[in-house]
Amino acid sequence: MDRHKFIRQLTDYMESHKQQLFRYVCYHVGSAADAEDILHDVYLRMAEGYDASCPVGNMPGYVYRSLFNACVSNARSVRCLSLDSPEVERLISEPSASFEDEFLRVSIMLSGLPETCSEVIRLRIYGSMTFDNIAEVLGVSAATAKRRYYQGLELLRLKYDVL
Amino acid sequence: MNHSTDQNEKDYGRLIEALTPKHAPVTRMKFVMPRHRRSRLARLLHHVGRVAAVLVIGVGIGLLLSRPDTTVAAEKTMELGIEKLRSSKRCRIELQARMLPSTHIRPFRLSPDGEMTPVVMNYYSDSVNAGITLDWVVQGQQHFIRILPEGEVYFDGQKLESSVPADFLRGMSVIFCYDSKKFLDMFDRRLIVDRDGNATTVNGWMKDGTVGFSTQFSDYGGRLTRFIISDVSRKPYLTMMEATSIEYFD
Repeated sequence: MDRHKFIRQLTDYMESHKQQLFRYVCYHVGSAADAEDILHDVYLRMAEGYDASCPVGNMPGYVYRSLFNACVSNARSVRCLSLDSPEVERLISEPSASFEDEFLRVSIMLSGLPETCSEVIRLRIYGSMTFDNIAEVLGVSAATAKRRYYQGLELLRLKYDVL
Repeated sequence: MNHSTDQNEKDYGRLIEALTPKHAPVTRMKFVMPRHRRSRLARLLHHVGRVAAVLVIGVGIGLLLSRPDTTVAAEKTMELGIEKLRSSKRCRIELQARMLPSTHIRPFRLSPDGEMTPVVMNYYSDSVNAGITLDWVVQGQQHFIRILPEGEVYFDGQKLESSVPADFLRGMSVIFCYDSKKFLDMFDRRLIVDRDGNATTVNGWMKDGTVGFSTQFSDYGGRLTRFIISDVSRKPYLTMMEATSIEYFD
C-alpha cells in the first residue's frame, strides 16, 4: 500500500468512527479538549510516520493501539478518593449528572480492576469494538480478550454488589 | 457476537448499563487528509528558487540604478584614452582595415567587400611634424597619406582636394583636434564597460546601429591598447578594422 492510499484509508476510518474514538479517549483521559488533542496528534503521527515496509493489516486495531499508547502517555492521576468514602458511594449508586461525574465514577470502578481487564472493558464499551479488534489492539487472542472482559465484569459485580 | 456472548451480556446487563456512557461528549472535529508533503529536495529547491528570485530582482534593480554610473565610467575611460592619445608626442598604431584597392582619385575606401589590409598609422603632436600619417600596401604597391593639422591631405605626395571621405576626416579631427565629447556623441550612449584583469573594455554602437566597436584600455595608464570596429548589421559581425599594436612615444 502506498503512502497516499494509506493516509486516505486512515482518514476515512477516523472520520467515520470519530465519535467512538473520541469517546474512548475521553473516558481514558477525562477531558474532551485533551481527547481532541490526542486524536489530532495521533492522526498526524500515523499519517506522517507511515512506513511502507510495515503495512497495516488491521486499521481499527492500529488506530486504537496508537490511541491507547497516547492515552497512557498522557495519563494524569485521577482524583484520589477512598473507596469507602460517602462520595464514592454516591457516585456509584446515583446516576451521573455530567460527563465529569460519569468519568470519575467509571475511573473509580475500573481502578479496582487489573489493567488488562479494565482496558478490555474500555475498548469494548467506549470504543464499541469487537473482541477480534480488541485482541488485535492488545496483542492477545480473541478468546483471551473475551475472558478478560467478563473477568473484569465479574470482579465489578462482586465488588459493587449494589449493581 | 455469538450466542454465549449474548447470554453473558444479559447476565451483566445492569453492570454494563451502569458503565455505558450517558453523558459522553461528542466532537465536531474533522479529519482531513494532510496536504501532500513536499520532499526535502523540493523544499530546498523552493528556498533556493526564492533566494534566486530575490537575487535576480536585486541585481536587476542594482543594474538599473548603476547603469548611469556605468555609462559615465565608460565615457570617462574613453575620454581619458583619447586624451592620452592626443597628449603623447607620437603614437604608432598598427591595424588591419578592410579596404578596397586604391585608385588615383580614391586613395582608400573601407568596404565590407574589401580585404583586410595592414595599415600603419602615426600620430604626431609636436609642432614640427604635427599631423597624421597612414602607410599601407595594396597589391604590392605602397601608399602613403599625410593629414596636416590645417586639414590638408596629401596622398602619395600629391595634395588631395576632396577625395578623402568626409567621415574619416571628421572622425580624425574629432579624435585628435577637438573635445573627446564630440567623438563620443557619434556613438550611442549605451556604452558597456567591463573590467578584466588589468584592462578595461568599453563596448558601444553607432547611433544608427550598423557599426559597433570594442575598445580596450590599460587599467594602469588609461591608454588605448586595442580596438576593433565591426559591421554589426551583418550576422556574424564583420570586422572592419582591428588594431594589432598601439605604441606611445612620450
